[in-house]
Amino acid sequence: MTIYAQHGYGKSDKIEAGIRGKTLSGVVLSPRDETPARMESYVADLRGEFGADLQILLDPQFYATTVLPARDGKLPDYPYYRGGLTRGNFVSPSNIALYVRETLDYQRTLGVSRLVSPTVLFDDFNDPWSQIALGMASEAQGALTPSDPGLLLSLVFDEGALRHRKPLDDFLDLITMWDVPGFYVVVRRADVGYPAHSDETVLTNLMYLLYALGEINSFEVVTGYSDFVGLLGQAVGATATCTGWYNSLRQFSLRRFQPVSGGRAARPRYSSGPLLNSVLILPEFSSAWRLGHTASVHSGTAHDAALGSGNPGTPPWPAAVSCLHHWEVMSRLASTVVTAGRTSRRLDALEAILNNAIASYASLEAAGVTFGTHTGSREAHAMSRAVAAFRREVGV
Amino acid sequence: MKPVTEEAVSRVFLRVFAERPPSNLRGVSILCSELDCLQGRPDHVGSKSTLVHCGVLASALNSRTRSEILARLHRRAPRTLPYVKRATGYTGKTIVEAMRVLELAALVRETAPGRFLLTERAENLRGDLWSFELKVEQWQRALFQATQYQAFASRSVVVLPEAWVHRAERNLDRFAALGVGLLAVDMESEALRVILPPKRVNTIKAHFLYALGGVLAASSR
Repeated sequence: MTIYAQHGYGKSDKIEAGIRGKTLSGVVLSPRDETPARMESYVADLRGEFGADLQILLDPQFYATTVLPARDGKLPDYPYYRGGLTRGNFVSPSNIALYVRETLDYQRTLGVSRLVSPTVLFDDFNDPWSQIALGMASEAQGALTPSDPGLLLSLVFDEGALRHRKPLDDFLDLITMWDVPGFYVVVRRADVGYPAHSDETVLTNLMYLLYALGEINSFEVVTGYSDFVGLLGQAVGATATCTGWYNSLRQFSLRRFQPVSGGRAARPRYSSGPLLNSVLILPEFSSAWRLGHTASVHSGTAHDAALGSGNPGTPPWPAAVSCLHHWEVMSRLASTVVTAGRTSRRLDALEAILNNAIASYASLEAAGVTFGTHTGSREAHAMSRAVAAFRREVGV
Repeated sequence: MKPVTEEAVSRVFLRVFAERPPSNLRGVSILCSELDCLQGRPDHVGSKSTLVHCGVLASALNSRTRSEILARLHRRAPRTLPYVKRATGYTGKTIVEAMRVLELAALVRETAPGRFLLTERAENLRGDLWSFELKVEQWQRALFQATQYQAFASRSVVVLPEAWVHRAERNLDRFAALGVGLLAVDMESEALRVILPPKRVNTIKAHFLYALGGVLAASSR
């Protein structure tokens, strides 16, 4: 299993249920959504029930310090967090050393499986913020002690940074020299709809980045907020994919840390393994049922029983069940890819999944099912083209 | 020729529909526009039924929580609080508060502590709602939205101007497969043409109740 829960508000007992159901092997905790006291007791509870095998990480979310105005929840309660930072605060090396030390010191009190370094978000591998991020990563390495459980260096950047190969190559040349167990990689998506529109070049270069880190240099690579896109990473050497119960926990955007006004409840979704997408129960899954094509959508998890055999729009599909179902779908897909063996076989397995998704969409659309822009076959096509481009380029 | 806007299509549609409805849509009255439903906002909602406004009833129904809870109850088999919790995912406190409002609206009665039945008034909340989704060119988007509205509307219709409807007509099989009707508005002669009548579909009770609440509220204004 290589799926981690991306923790957020309203966790209830979903994470424990996912771990007991053997669909999750880890969790990335969000300090924005728990008080320090509650975080400490939650980590202790998880360790108590699941032992040392459970991978527990804390994303320090230091990138939220530069969001203005910020909706940073419980973050200000944490000793290392300080809101309202600007580039001027990162000029002094002593400031950076302080931020890093305090963040790592806090995590040392928790009993996490790895420390995760603090970072700032950057838009481009050459911009000033990327240099600050490199400085923080370098400082984090220097702050390690022999008793630490190992360090994952955070890389949080905008997907636009992946449009150009040369800066990415230069960046990789730098970071692959570091002597750390691995990286926690988070990509900010440009499209706020779920699932976000993926650019083929961005996906290809993301695979290249993760391949360079995970496969070539044998780093442990955890891709935060990665959802279905994380499967591409796992095919090329990433260790784990993180995803949660809200759309905002399945793809990264700073909107999570910014004030919002209004909004309506999210519409119920069904994570379809065959389609490699989370489709809307109403009208998409419901239309497929009406047209006699549920087999092209059904994932076949234990939770499908909740929908019965009638119109899937009728029975309740509570958020908790939807989440556990999603994790099970992700876990099965990841397992199919990862257990295929070496990289070329994993990519073969991934391409088979993508080809099946494209064919399933085609049959559903031929039957008359209409999909929305985000839930249609666009993503499957983009991923398929990206995988093909990656394979041609790298020769696997 | 002046470019056609959705507002202009809507004006002509509403006027002609009220004065000279097509034969297979006779008896349907447009009750409200831009109704806020659980699945979006259809341009127009109609019905053949006569709906009598009642503020308490409208308010009781036009709540996601209450409509979902009401949809799980039965006229003869009492449902318990734990049953409703499991069925809806709502907390006990939320359900108790919802039941209080539903009882005030005479839709629910508590036969014993924590056991609830639908009243006759609730059981008689039936009827067919029609949704009309208007677009100028984007027939695919209109079709998608029309299928969304089938959650509450037993009949859904896409309405397009005559100048653009040919694109949708080329894909009539998709409309037919999904049971969505297609209607053309001639902006010049101000006439309506039913290209494909909608099929009646089974709605989802919670969605229907919520929409009904909205229609009742709108019909009072």
